[in-house]
Amino acid sequence: MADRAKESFNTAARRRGIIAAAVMAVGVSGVQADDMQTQYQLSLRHSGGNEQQIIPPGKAETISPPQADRPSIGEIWAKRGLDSDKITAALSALTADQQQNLARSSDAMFAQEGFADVIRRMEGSKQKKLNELVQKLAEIPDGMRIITTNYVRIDKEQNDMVWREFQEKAEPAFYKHLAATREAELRDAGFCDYAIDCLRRGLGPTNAQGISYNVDIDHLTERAGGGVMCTEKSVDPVLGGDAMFPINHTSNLCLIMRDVHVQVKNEINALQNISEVPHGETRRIIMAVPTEDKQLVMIHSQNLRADTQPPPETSYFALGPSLLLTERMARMKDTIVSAPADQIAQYFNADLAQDFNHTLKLWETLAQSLQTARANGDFKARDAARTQKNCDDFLKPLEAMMAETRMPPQAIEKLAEISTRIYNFLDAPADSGRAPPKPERSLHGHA
Amino acid sequence: MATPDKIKKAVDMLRHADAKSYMRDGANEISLKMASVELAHHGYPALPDDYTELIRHAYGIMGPYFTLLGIGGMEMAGGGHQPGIIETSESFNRWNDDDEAKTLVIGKMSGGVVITHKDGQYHIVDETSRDVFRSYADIADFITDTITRLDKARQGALG
Repeated sequence: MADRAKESFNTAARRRGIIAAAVMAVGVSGVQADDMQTQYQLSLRHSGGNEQQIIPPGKAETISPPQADRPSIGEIWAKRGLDSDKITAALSALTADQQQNLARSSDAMFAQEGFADVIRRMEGSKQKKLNELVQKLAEIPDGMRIITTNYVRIDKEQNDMVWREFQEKAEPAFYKHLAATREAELRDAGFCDYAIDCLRRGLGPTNAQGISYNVDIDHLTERAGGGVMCTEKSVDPVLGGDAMFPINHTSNLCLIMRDVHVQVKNEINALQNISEVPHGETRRIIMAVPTEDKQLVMIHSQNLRADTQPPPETSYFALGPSLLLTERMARMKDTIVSAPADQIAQYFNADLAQDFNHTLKLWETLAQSLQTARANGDFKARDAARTQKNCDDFLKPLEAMMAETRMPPQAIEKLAEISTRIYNFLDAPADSGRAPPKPERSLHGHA
Repeated sequence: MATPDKIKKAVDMLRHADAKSYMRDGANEISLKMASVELAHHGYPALPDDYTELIRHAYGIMGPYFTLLGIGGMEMAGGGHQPGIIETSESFNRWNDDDEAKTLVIGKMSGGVVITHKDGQYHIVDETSRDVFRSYADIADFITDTITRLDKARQGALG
């Protein structure tokens, strides 16, 4: 039953080309432990969220072109006094799509108290960090929004106490609460029977094999920066029971996709160096939080790209992962030169299979996009040449290195099959001339 | 450092714990050798001996108590991907100063907490604030202490 549910989830996700993502921010309570929580909860109540629609990279062509009467992102930020060289450089480093996203959401961000001050403070950081933060702001996923809040750093012992209370009381209670109140949503998101049963028992969701789902519980107001929310206990208005720190109350917890947690929320925090805020001190920070609709569905841009990107662009996604794998295998050559095949296969399955399968999917995506481009008669000789160069420089060396390091034959065959399909498409006459012949290249001659 | 016997007992405890964890097969000699090669390549120290002993039993553990990583990633239920030690450590160290020694992250726990190894000890570290909550001399102690603590807390809550 559990396996069937998981497979059903996987199949559905593949078919739709999305990752079903669950963010269940359970109802905001009326607890107002301090100024920070009040502001955050008010913002949840009154804001409709950033009125932005994030367009995944693969959908660039669907974005409306800039209008002559709409100010550029540089102009919008300059009006707010953010026009230093560093900030201008960070905004200029954005792609056109990102600039438009940020232009659309800037008003909502500047409406947050102290937003401009936080950005100004970031001018003291390295340019790379400022660029990264601005880029994160331009790519806030649908279902999340930017707020500002006071990060009131608690001391280490208190933080530990709060975390232990979270693990030992709040987390099990939150899971049980989700099972009791959000079962249908969780099942829709792909949780199997066993996972729901885990939640009922107060355990983190796994499938029947014990494999975890890709979710975390997030403290909306950061645990280490919660001020009095981390020091003065009160009864959770949702759950009742023993008094707990309000930072661990249901209203401050959120089941969130791990990817979003790590790559968006935590990254924005890290970029602001909040670990350097001294204990007991307060700093205004920018924070990504879920919108009030509480449920987030993330578009899986990699799957979308197959349908929306023409072949040269599609191939770029496979280059980095292929190069990393090839280099990794190059490093292992000496170690496995005399190893038995079964041990190599075991090593491959334990250490490389995840990355290999991911890379395989990216090349498969290129094959599909080539097929589509050919079928639509929309494939120029120049595109064929660029695509072929990418394949010569990255796909062929990967194939060669897999053979050289005696990777499992099934894996080599899968890659070869996709490679053959790609080169067959490339070798067919393009719209305006034939693709150039494939030169022989070595790994170290390119990239 | 934990003896092989102590590691085995900790693994058995996890295997028979109240909540089920997923434990991958043990790492073979190639994986162990390549772990050192890959870690050195990325500027990290070798895995501690007791952690190497642990991954001989289970090369990657995930479940309700904690996640302990191998070098390669692990597939999660529903198709998600749990990155391995190097990717997770690189993410943790991403904004370090250039001259700052890299911290090896070998696992994670719920509530935004990671398990690091530094200066011969395992540390339970708040990922965001970098507060160190507690430290363990060996990985077996961490495993047994965590299972005992969380099972006791949960059973208390259920009772």
